[in-house]
Amino acid sequence: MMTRQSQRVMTLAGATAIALAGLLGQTSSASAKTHDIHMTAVESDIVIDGGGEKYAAWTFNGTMPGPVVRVTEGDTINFTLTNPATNKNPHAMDFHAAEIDFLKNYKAINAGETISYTFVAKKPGIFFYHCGAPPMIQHVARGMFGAIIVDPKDASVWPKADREYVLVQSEYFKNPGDVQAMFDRKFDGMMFNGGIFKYHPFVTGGGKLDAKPGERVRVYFVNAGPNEFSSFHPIGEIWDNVYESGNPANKLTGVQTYVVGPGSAATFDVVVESAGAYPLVTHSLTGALRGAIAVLLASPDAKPMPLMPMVPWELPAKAK
Amino acid sequence: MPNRLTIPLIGLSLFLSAHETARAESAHDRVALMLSGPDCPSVQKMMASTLRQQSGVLHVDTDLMPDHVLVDIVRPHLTEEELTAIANQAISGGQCRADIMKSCITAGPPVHGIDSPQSADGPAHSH
Repeated sequence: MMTRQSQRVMTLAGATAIALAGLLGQTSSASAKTHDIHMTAVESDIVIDGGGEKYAAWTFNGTMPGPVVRVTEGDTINFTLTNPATNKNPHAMDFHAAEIDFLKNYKAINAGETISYTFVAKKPGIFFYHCGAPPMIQHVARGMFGAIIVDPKDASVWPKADREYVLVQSEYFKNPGDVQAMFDRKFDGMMFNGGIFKYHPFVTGGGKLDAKPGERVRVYFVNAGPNEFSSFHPIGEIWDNVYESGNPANKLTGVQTYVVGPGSAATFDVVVESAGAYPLVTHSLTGALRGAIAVLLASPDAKPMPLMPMVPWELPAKAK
Repeated sequence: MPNRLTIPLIGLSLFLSAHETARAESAHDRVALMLSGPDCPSVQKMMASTLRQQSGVLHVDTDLMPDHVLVDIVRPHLTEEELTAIANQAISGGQCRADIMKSCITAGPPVHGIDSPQSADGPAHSH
């Protein structure tokens, strides 16, 4: 039987626990950040290969892919899209990281208009973002896409990466006005980060991705499509881990090839054991041999690189 | 009897054909020469220097890929085979050999409008 004193202690302990829980909750909520993300729809020519070939692209902020957005699980994003009056087409923005009403937020806006909406990035992962203005197949094919990384709130849920890259795969249609070719899947090239053979050093103007032997390299991979599936494979290696949609809870181990459909994404970890070249490719070879090859070069003197190197493309030197 | 439009049409066709040929003539390629042999580190710079002096060579890179010399050329002023012969002649006498690198990541045949970096008819490694 409980004494009055022990009852008082229990009550006090309970009250303290509730107060502490409330405080912890407040702390957690307080640590979440708010990000004001502003993008502009830009219709302009961009370079899509190392030979300097230009493409009449439609982009977010003038690059293909658009800028990488990076937030932490629980953060709030205040997003604004501006479609300048100088543009000729309606544009829109659809964030796959958001869980909000499509009708209100993802509608197309005309040139000269602006749209804003807010969402909380509730689930960790790597997500696609893209324009949804009709015909969406053309807006995606012409370059209106990108990646948003939502880092897990608790970083210890997965191994720390030594090096990170974002790769966005997409199809290249030589004639950007030929919507029928897009519906017919008649693509002319396959791109990583808006370039054909952008990270293939054996191709004119091509570069590479760097790593050191033994490093855990994390690739945030998005397939923008608009149509083709990617069968992502590291030649000479095996994915140590694959996380479907980049969510640490969706973990696979020891994967040779993993299929990422159009509009989807996954995070890939690889630890390259020894120095050498490890091409990251879509094993759908019609895509790989038309541009979707990124050579990961492991070398002890590898230098740090940006999350999305060579965007925009650096034209090759023509010096003799 | 030929139609009055026939001659201008033939002329236009010949002009377009010549234009297309001229475009093909100015195609740029990167040739990847893989070096093998114990003397390669010491002769690589000499080879690169010789290649830079060749007509049709735009750019020579010795840093991007280990054990490789990457050469941007203009076809048909210089073919891959001619380039390889020049490279091997430049380093003859030592234990180093340059071969055109062909592998499973050799790009496919050119899609209309995209220049292929190298011929894709070499043996492909399985993957």
